[in-house]
Amino acid sequence: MGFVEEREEVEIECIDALSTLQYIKYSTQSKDIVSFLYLIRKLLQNCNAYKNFYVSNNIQFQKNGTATVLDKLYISEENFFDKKEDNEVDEDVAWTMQEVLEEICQYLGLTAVADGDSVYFLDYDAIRHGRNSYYKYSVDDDSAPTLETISFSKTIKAEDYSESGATLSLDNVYNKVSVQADLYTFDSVLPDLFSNLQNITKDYDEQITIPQQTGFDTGMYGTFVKSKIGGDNSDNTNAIGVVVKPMEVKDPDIIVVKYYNSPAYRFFKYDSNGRDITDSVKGLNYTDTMFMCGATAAKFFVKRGKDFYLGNSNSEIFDNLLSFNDVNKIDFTNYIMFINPFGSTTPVSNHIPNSAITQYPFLETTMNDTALVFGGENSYIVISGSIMFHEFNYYPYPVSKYWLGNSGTMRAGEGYLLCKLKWNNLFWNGTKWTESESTF
Amino acid sequence: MIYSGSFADINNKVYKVTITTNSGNQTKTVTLGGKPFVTEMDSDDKVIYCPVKYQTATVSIITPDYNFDIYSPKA
Repeated sequence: MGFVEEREEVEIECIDALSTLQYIKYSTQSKDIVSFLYLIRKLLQNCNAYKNFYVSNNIQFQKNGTATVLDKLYISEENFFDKKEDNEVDEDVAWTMQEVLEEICQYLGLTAVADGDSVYFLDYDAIRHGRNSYYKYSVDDDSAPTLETISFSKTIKAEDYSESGATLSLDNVYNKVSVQADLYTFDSVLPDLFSNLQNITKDYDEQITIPQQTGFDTGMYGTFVKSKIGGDNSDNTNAIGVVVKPMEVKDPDIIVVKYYNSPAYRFFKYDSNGRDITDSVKGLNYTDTMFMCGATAAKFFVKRGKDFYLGNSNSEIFDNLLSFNDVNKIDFTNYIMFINPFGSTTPVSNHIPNSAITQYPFLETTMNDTALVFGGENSYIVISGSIMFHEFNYYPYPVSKYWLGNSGTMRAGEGYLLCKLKWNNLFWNGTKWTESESTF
Repeated sequence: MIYSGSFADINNKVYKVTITTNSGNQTKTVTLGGKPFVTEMDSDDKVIYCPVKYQTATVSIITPDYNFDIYSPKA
């Protein structure tokens, strides 16, 4: 198991003490003829967990008898060792204590079940006929047993188990019931960010499709492609191919990108004056996102390539660049892109400072509030994911790792997401729903 | 170390899960996961008359620590 996240959900498997007998070999100083009582006591002492055991008194030597029988039944310990081959010792051929216990129970027609600090040797036929008398023995000493009446009945009602993965089956035998309660399994409270996306990629971008002269040393160029797979003629299948040279060095980043909206989420966008322009933005291209302040869903393919410039049009140059860099398949990765550029270049910077971020949400669900409320005591709601941060202004894509270096290190006060969870008029504060707003 | 966590059932009855290890008596509160405590009785056999019925439990905790002392046969 590897620890990846800051908090991990760890499952710890526990077994009952009876199960530990499978790891213990039967051993004895001398292979005597011993009573069943001695044998059971010895096995349960090795569990180191039980104080008492109860044995149904349905097994008798005489009709209508009530005497104890375990102390009157004897067996040789030799039975618990297989035949030894050459150079083998008792330990090599000894049964496990679990095997010994199961053999005893099979012979007596009993079923051993642990409950709390006791083990019950049940006779289902006796229970069925209303014989509920048991002899109670102590595990640790030889005190005389006492006769007790033990019974249990349960009427299974609807509130005894819940849906969400619970199974309840009842066979003809009355004890064949398995119930696994699975009460709080909200695997996902919010809708999938990347389901039912709507492509809003424009099919034009004047800045990147300007025909280049000879090669290019700065800036970028690009082209447009349309997917040939999926959708009908009315679907937007645009994708933009862009070649960018961050830091104006020789080798470029090769990018293919598509931009999306989602019916389940609102990706806010703001102009340089801080006005919400989300509804007026019907499409995006690469140049738009360079000067955008806000969020969008996007699919990116990014590869740092070797510089190669040959062709008579941007499309041809782009194709040749892909071929030169052995790119014959484009695999997209889903992103939610948050952009908050800074700087004083034209247009005027629209950077939202930390002090104002609560006034400019970037991402919000558009869910109907009529679903059931979740949460309550001991609820733990986790927002998980991975984040990539860089501070390269006007490079709105996940830059190839080559460029990140130390500049990609997230510093205190930067690159964090402020979130709040609201349901109707209530806010989640980490432990309960309140009317006061809380952020995380 | 004694690890202690609690969860509530559908009727808001609180159950406490305690894991005691051999590394001292200091108490630490842990947060239980989405399936905090699940018990299961061995039901591989199709007949009721199996000689021994074993039980297992799975405890789910959310933790930032390794808690190595839990992974012990004596915990």
